Amino acid sequence: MSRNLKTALLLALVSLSTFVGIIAKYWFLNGK
Amino acid sequence: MKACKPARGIATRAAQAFAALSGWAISGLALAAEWNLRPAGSKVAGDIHDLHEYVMILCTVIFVGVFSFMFYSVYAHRKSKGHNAAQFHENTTVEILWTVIPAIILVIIALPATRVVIAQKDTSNPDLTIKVTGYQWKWGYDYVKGEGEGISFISTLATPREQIENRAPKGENYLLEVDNELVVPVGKKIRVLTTAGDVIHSWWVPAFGAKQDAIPGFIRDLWFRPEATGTFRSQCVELCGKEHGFMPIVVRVVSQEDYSKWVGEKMKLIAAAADDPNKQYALEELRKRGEQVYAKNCVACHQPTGKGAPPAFPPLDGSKVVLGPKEEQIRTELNGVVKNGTPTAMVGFGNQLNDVELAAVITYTRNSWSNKTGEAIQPAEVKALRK
Amino acid sequence: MSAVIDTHGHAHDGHDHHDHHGGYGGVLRWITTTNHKDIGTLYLWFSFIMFMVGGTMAMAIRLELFQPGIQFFNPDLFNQFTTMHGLIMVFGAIMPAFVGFANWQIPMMIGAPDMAFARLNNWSFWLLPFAASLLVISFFTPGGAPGVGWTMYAPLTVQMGVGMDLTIFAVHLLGMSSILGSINIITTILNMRAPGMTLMRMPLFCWTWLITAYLLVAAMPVLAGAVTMSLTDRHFGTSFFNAAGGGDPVLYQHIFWFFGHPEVYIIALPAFGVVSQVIPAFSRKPLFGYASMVYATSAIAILSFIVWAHHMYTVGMPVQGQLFFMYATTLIAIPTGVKVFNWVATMWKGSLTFETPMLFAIGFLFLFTLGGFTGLVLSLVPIDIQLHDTYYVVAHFHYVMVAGALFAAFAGIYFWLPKWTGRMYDETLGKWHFWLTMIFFNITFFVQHFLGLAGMPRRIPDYPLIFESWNKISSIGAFGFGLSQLLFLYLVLKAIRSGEKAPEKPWEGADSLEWTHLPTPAPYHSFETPPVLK
Repeated sequence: MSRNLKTALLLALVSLSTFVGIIAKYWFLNGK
Repeated sequence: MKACKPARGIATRAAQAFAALSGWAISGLALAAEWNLRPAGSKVAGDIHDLHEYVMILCTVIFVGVFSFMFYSVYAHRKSKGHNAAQFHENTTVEILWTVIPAIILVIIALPATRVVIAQKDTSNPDLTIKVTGYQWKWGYDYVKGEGEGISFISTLATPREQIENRAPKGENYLLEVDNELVVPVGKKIRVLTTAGDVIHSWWVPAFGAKQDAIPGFIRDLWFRPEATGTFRSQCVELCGKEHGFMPIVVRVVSQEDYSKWVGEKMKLIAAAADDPNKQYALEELRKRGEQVYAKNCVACHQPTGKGAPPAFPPLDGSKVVLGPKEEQIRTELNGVVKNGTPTAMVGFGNQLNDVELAAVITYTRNSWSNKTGEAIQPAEVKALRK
Repeated sequence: MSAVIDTHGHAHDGHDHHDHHGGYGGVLRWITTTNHKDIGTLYLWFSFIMFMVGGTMAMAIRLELFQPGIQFFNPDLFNQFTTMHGLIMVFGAIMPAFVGFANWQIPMMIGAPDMAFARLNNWSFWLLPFAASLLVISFFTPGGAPGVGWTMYAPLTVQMGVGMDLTIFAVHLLGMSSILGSINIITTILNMRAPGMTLMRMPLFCWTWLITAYLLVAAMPVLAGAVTMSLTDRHFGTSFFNAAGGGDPVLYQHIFWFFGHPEVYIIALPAFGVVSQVIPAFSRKPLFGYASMVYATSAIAILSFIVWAHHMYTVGMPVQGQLFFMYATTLIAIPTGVKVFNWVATMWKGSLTFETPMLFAIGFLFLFTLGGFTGLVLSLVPIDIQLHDTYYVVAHFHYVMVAGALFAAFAGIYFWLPKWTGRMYDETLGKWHFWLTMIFFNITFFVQHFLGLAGMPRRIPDYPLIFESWNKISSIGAFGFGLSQLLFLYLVLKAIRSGEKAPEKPWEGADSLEWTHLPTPAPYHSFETPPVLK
């Protein structure tokens, strides 16, 4: 895996986790 | 790089146009009376005025100072003047100074500000507590504690549609007048609880420096202590839909004696006009009353002609709901229209209008324009369908 | 479109150079290109078209506001214009413009042959016209475009028709474009600099984009989260923002502004980067305090994550919250001030000339700082209580985003057009564009400060009579401002088609790699071999 690809995937992971994380957090926090 | 001189004709004409525009602008400036915050009607508002003036002076001094350097440079360090570029690009002392000095300036701004922030938040020990509810598109006032407890009314824009639609000249308090003003006694600490019936609105009186968002399902508060009698006008200040610009706030501050008088009168009126929901009303009586309710609540979307503005705002003239079974229409009026689980702009009026008003407006729609059902809806029927 | 880039620098003579451009000609070239210069051009033209579309809506808004009363647009349509003006300008005009600069400039400035992911670059662009079409199409759906303001607060968004759903989808696509573009930019800058091009040697424009790209990666998903939650509240029975279901409308605001505040720095930082290239070039002097500029930019970026609730002082948060956000917000003034001082110090004792790029850069410096001061005023809670949701805020953000970011973008176009096209723009016309824009901008927006102080709320199509004079003046300024941008279009087209041939180094003081190591115009493929840096 090239160095470029590794950098890109890491950043993509950050974005995706933020998105999913926010929705998940408030989904569970609000019990719904 | 020398710019080519444009043809004289163009230059003259451009200069003339610019002069004309400036003249226009300056005459506009002369007419324009409003340069600053509204005159303070309370100590807090006065403190805000002072803080703003203080910060403005500080910022202006810094701004002018910094840009004098820049404009001096623009003048003195131009290549066309023969100035040769120095090559320095660092100076630690200067950089530290212009980091630390702004930091100190920020502290001397934040300190007086802090004092006012804390004062503005202290809603304890009020003399009078009023609950303000934001609706689309009007305010509801309920005096909940203190002299006048129990008084409750809706405050709606009173400016006639003809003025808004440019068919009549605009009055002095255009868009700042209501049918029922909020009346409070001078010198007393007034605590206002804000909430809303549908979307977020915001209640604000600039003269008192008090603003608080009205959030559906939550109660927030603000306080003010008016220092002088007078009428103070303002508007809803959070986008709340179509008629956001048309739900003003008018607060009339009166002397303590006048306030007590007003309270007395209001209580009498409420008792007298207490709509008896069990009474049976005649069709014409309901229709006439309904026309008034319609004018205040329905006209903006469904139009005086009942033709609405489809597809967003359906017509009532010839409408299936209006001509159909009355229970359907009563439910629609009470609870609003929800499409596929999504609320629409047709909100429920169940908590804004009482049974008599609802019965009246439904009767009006069923007996106006080309609708001739001959049916009178009684308040008791509305009451029965309330959840 | 293929006339825009002429790699051989001579006048258009009808020769078919398309075989140099990836093997396709005409429209297909532009659809399939993976060349950072082509993609930069696409972004810039797209952004200009969006600027015109958003600008037309602004003209409509100012037309209605010329006088009290409802004359042209009913309140519902007016709210739709206000909303779409904001969304189109922020996501369709100003952000893509700076991505266009990033694409054109970053590879050349670091000595790289192209972006790290060239095909991803193409997709990142083509998402945009599709998303923009959704926004425009929403006007023609039942109920029209959503009339909720670009901030799209709940629960008002729940009341809107299907136009709201189109808008939410568009926002997702716009966000995805930004995120993919940012991943590309970060990877390119971190991994593809020429040997000897250390991070602390990069032009500041690259630094500001590196930092901006991180902000985008962190903030755009948050916006996506917020609008997704609005979408599910609308259609899938959730109650994130619905009190009756156990939710909280203010939660939306927290999530939105957690994105929203970094967003304004996403807009501002690339502008700072452009200006940091232009001012030293026309002062014939190195940028003052390069390292401090890097640290200040980083400080601004980090601080931008802890100040979001200064957009929410009136929601009813506890006093400790108001105080925290007030203090944190005022802190940002320090690194911002450092940058302003450094730009002035760059000019100080330089050898200044005032071609159009420099005029716009100086205009930026002056007016962005003014906007910064009104931001400081707004950051103070007691004053914000009076000014929140009034025209003072509208004035503030137009100063920093138009006289700030847009002026910087103009400076960048005038500065780099010769390098991109091999042709000079007409300097006289450029100066006319600058002065007309400068004067009309201030007529339009300076008076809005007074409107806000006097108490005029935002987002209203009609207003009480005391606000009439300032509104008239503002509207006249707006019409002038709008017309002046047509002059810009004319002079750019004229330059591209028939501008004077640019010399190899049109700007004496410009010293980044694209000026020192590449011919003018830059070749379609540059730095296929990395440059040797001393």
